[in-house]
Amino acid sequence: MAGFLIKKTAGMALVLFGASFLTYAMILLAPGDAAREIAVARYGGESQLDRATVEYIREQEGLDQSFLVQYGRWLSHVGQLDFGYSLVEEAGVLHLICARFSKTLELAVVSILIALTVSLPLGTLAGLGRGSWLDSTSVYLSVLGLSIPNFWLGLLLITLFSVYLHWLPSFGTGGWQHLIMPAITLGTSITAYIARLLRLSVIQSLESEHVLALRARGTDSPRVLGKHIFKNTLIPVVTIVGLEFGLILEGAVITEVVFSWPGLGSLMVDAISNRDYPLIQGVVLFTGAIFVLINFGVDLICSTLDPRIRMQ
Amino acid sequence: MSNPLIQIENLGVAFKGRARGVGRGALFWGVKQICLTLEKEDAFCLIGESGSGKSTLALALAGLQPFHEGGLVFRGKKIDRSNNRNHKSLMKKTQMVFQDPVQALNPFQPLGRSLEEPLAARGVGPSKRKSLLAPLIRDTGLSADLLKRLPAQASGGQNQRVCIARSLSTQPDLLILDEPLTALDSLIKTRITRLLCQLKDKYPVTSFVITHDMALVKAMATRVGVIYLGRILETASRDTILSGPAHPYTRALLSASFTPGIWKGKRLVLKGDAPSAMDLPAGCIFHTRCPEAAALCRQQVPEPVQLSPGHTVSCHIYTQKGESWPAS
Amino acid sequence: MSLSFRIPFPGRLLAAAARNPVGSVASGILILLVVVVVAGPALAPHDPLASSPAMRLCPPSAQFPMGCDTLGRCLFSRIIYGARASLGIGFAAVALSACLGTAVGLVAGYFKGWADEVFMRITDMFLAFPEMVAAIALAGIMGPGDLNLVFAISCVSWTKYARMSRGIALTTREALYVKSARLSGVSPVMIIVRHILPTVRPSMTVLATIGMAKGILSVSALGFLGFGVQPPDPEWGTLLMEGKDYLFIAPHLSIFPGLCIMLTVLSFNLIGDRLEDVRSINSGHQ
Repeated sequence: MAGFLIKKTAGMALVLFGASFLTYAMILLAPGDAAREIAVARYGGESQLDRATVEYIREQEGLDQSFLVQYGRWLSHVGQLDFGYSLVEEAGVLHLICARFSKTLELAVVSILIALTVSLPLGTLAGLGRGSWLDSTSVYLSVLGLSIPNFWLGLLLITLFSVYLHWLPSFGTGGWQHLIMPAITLGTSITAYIARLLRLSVIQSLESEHVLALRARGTDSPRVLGKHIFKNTLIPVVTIVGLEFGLILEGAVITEVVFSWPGLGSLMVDAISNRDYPLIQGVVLFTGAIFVLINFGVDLICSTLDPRIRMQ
Repeated sequence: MSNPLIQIENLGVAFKGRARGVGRGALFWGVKQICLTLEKEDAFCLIGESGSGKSTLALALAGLQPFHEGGLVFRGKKIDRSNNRNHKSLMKKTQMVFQDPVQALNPFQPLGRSLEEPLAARGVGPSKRKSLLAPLIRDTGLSADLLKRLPAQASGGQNQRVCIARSLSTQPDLLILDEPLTALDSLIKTRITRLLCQLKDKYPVTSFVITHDMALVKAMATRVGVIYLGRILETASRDTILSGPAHPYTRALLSASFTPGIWKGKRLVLKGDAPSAMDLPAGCIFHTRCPEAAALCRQQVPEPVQLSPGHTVSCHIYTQKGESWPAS
Repeated sequence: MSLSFRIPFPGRLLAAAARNPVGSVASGILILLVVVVVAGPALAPHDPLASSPAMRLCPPSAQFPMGCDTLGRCLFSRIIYGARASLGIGFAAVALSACLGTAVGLVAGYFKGWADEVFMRITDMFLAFPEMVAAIALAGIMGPGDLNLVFAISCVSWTKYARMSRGIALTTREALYVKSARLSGVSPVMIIVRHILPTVRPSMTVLATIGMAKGILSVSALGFLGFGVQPPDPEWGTLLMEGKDYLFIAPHLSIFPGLCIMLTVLSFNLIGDRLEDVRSINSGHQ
C-alpha cells in the first residue's frame, strides 16, 4: 500500500508541476506586449504612455528575461503561496481566489446535492426496472439533460421565474432564492451524467456473475442482493462524483456569469475580459490543482474500496 | 556431411511469475539448455505436449521473444544477446507460419495485400512482386479471386495457404512453422501436409516445424526432436525415432498417437500429470512420470549422450553405458 | 464493421426508421444540418448582416420567420449562417483533436517504453484542466479568430482520443499479425497505419461524434461569453449573447438559437450512443 501511495503522490506532483508550466506558457499565446498591458492597467490610457515607462515596467517585472527564468520566478513565488497581484483589482491574486472560491463551493455543493437527490433514485430504479417505461424515459431524459446548453437553461429559468413570474431574483447572492436557479442549472448536466452511469452500473451488477450465482443459490432476499449490488455500484459512483467535479468547475464558469454569481468562474471571466494576466494564471492554476487533488482523492478511495487496483 | 545453418547452444528463455503481495514474481524457465543443430534444407520437427515450451523456443529463434541464456550461431556469427545486430540479420532471413491463420492475417485488408506485405516491406515494386509471387500462388493453389477476399471470408485452410505462400515469398533461409495444422479441421490437415511436402521439395529452405501431429512428422520430417517441460530429451533422424525411440517419454508420446505406422504395440501410459512449469522437479525433469525412474534420476540431471551419429538422448538409462539398469 | 454505403430501397428505409424512431429523428436533424451548412446562403431569405432598423425586435412573421434582432436583422438568416460557424468550428476542433490525439496515442501504445511514459505524462498534464476552463482561458487570452477558437477547444479534448487509442494499440500490438509483420520487416509507420489504425477507428468514431456535441456546446458557450465568434458575425452562442438583454420584450431572440444548439447537440449525442452500442456489440461478437 505504501508503495502505491508513494507512486501516486509522485505522479500527482509531476502532473501539478507540468500543469503549472502549461498555465504559465499560456500567456505566451497572448497577442501584444505584456509590459505594455501592465502599463496600461496601472497608469491608464494608451496615449499617456511613453516608451520609457513601458521599458521601466518591463525591467521591473523581469519581463526582459527569458521565458524559463520568468517561469522559474513565478513558480517559486507560487510555491510560497504568492500568486502575485491582480493588475486591476488592487488585491492579491490568492486573496481574491479564496474569497470567491467559497461561493463557488457553496454553489457546487448544493448542485451536487440536488443532482444526487434526483439521480440516485432515478438511475437505480431505471437500472432495476430494465426495459420498462421508466427506464427508457430516464435514458432519454438523461441525454436531454446532457445536451441542453447550461447557459440557455439558465436564461430560460430566468425568463420564466424572474421575468414573467417574479418569483425568484435573477442575479447576485442572498438567501436560498438566489441559490436555487443557479444550482438547478449547474446540477442538470450532472444529474444526467450520474443517472446514466448509475443505471449502467446497476445493470452490470445485476447481470454480474456473482449476483447470478447468489440468486441461483436461492438468495432472493432483497437485502442481501442489495448489499452486493450496492458495494459494486459504489466504486463507479465515487469515481463519477470525482469526475463530476470537472464538470462542475466547467459548468460553474458559465452559470456564474449568467446569474452574476460572485464565484471563481465569474472571477476568471472578468479577469480575461480585463486582460489581468496574473489573475488568470492564478485562477487557472488553482482550478487545475483542485481538479488534480480531487482525482487523486478519488483514486485513493477507489483503491481502498477495491484492492485489485492497488495490485496493478 | 555437416552443413549447419543454425546452431542453438544452451538457449534459455525465462518468464516472470505472478507477483504475490509486495514481492516480485519468481523467475521460471520456459525452455532451458536447448542444444540443437539445424542443417541446411533440413526439416526439423520438434514434438511434445502442450505447454512443453515448443512455441517459446520458436518465438525465441524468430526474435519475437527475448532469450536470457545461451545463444545461437548463424552463418558463423554468434548471437548471444537477443535482438542484437547479428540476431536481426537472422531475423531478416527468417519467416514464420503461425498456428492460427486467422489471427496471423490482418482482418481489415484483403488476402492479396497481406500476401504481398513482406516483399513490399523490402522495397520490391508492384510488378516485380506479382512476378515473384506467381509461382507460389500457383503452387499453393490460391486463386486471384480468393486473394481479393478478407480473411473472414476465406476458410482456415485457404488462410493458412496464404500464410505459407507469404512466408516463402522472401526466400528465407529459415522457415519456422508453429503448429501449422492445429487450427485446421482434419480433411484440410491432410491437404496442407501434402502441400508442405511438395513445397519442401520445390523450394529449398530449412524448416523448423513445431507440432504434435505425428502424421506431419511422418510425412515431412528429416530430423525429429522431443521436448518436455522446456528441455530437449532426444533428437534423432525421423526414421530412427520412428523405428527405435530411446527415451521413455518419446516412446510414450509415439504410443499415444492415432496415426497408423507410428507405433507398434501397446499404449504406454505415463503416471501422474505434467508438473507445473513454475515448480519443476529436481534431477531429470521427467522422473516424476517415468516408468523407469530410479534414485539417480531424482538427483542428477542426465547429460546428453550420443547413441549413434545424429541420435542424442538425455536419459540415465543410457548414461550408464549399458550397465545393468538398477531397479528403483 | 464495413464502411460501404448502399442506399436501401425507400421501403426498407422507412421500415428501419419506424423501428427506431428516436434514432431516425436524430439522423434526420443531422442531415438537415449538413444541408443547411452546405447550402446556407441559398436558403437564407435575407442577408444576415443587413439591418432594417424599422423592424427591430419584431416577433416572428411571414417575412421574418424567426423575427428580428435588436438591429433589425433577420434572425432566421442569422441562424442559418450561424450554423456554419457553430458546426464548422466544432467540426474543425474535433478533427484536430482526433487526428492529434490518435497519433499520439498510437505512437505511445505501439512503441511503449519511454515514448509511452513521456506522452502519457504530457497527457496527464493537459488533463489537469477541465476542458471548458482551458477553452475559455485560451480563447480569451488569444483573442478572437476562428483558428484561435479551434485551437482553444481542441487544447484539452485531444487527450480523450490519445487515451483511448493508446489502450487499443497496447492490445493490438500483441496480435499475431502484427508480430508477423514485424518479423517480415514492415516499418513501424506502416504497421501503425495498416494494422493498428483500423482497430482504433470504431472507437474514434464514437468519440468524435460525442466530441462534436461537446464541441458545439463549447463554441456556443464561448460565443455566449463573448470570447468566441465576435459580432456582427453570426454564431448560435453569440446570438444568445446578443439576445439575452431583451428577454422580456423579445424572448424569441433567446429561444430559437438555444433550441438549435440543443437539438443539434442532442442529435449528436443520440447518434453517438447508438454508434457505441453497435461498436460494443460488434466487438463482443468477435
